[in-house]
Amino acid sequence: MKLLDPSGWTLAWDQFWFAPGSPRNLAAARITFAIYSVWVLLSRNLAEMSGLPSVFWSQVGASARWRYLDFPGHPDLEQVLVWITAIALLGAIAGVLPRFSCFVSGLLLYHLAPLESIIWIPHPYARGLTISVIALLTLSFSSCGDCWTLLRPKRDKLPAQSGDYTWPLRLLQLYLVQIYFFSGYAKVMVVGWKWASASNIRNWMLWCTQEGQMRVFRTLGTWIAGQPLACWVVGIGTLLFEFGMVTVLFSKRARWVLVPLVPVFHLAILLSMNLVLLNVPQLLVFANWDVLAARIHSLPIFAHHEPPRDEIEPVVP
Amino acid sequence: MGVDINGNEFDIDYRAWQPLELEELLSWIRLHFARLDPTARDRVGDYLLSRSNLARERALSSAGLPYPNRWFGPLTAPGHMLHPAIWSRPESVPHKPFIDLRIYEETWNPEERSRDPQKVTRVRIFDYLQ
Repeated sequence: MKLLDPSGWTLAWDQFWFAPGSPRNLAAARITFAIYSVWVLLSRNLAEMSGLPSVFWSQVGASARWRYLDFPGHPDLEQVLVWITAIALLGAIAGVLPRFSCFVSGLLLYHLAPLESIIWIPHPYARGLTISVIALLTLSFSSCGDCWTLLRPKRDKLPAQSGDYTWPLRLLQLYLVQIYFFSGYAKVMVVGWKWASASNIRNWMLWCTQEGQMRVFRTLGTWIAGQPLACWVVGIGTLLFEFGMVTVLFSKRARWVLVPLVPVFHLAILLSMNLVLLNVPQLLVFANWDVLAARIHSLPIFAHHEPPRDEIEPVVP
Repeated sequence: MGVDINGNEFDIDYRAWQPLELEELLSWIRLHFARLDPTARDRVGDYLLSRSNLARERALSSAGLPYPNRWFGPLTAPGHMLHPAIWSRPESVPHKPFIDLRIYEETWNPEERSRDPQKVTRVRIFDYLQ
């Protein structure tokens, strides 16, 4: 592609968003996000936040309350909304009215998720449900219910590959990748490139292992803090990794290398700094579910069974 | 810190503050607590003291201090920061009720504290006596 040729850019743009994609991958994304969201939702007591004594809500501004329609004094109503959200997510998992279920759960999570932190900050970043809201709403506007649904469409075959299955998946991948990109961007903009310096990393490691309220794992963080070379590697490696994650959107090779490294990256952060990023399971949206489904059905336990209707090889247009 | 009738201070398990996550509560205290009038602060103290005593009783019971979701148990999704579950064993739970709740602000220099773990400055910013 010539860099200055507009038609080349248009082609690359179309290729990125609308290359024929598999309905399985989009269905897997629906199930992944719904399972993840129900796990986080039911792990919190969001409804009870509305029932906190009014003094905790006294500093919450009108804009935050109206933006999310979050108000104190309605824990029972919020509990009902939590259950409706959970039921909608189960519907999304099972494929019962999948698009409607994704829409309802996404909308309700937009209302519920901020409750976790609203008493002091109205945006619930890094608490587990931020990406879920936009992901579920994106899925609700896509053909995410064409495969792996309990109530099956009337057709006999798996639908053909289509661009309709690609753009939503690309958006979900973009949402995930921007977590890393903007994490690196914030470090450089707020602190500067010296964020990666050994002294800064040492201070972070020491602080996270000295703070009594979050001191669960100490060994790895203390060890890294004591090794200047390890601190440099962690600092530079983190920035390279966070900015490099953008490449997984465009390069299959980068996807093969970097996506499996993400769980390792977060495990290292967990063990050294006691910090958790819950979104890791959402990386399953980068998997090729056609290949995985074919491998699963080639296992000996499936050898004597007819392939299920969904697993009939798709016809590529 | 919870204080019993003998004046002994005890750390409080992070699960005591449910539905508040510990980091949300600490951030709220840091940003907004000082702006409250004394009556409002006492209301906060009363609420937190009652939560900590309720959690202490649950931690001493045979069921133990529950996770936010009892079905998920230890598989409950953690918050952004990990916290030690210091009241997981009954022998580590204070047996006498708390009558006083104290909030301290701790500051330290990481380098100095790495050489001497006791090198921490603690300032009591709130004391609520029942």
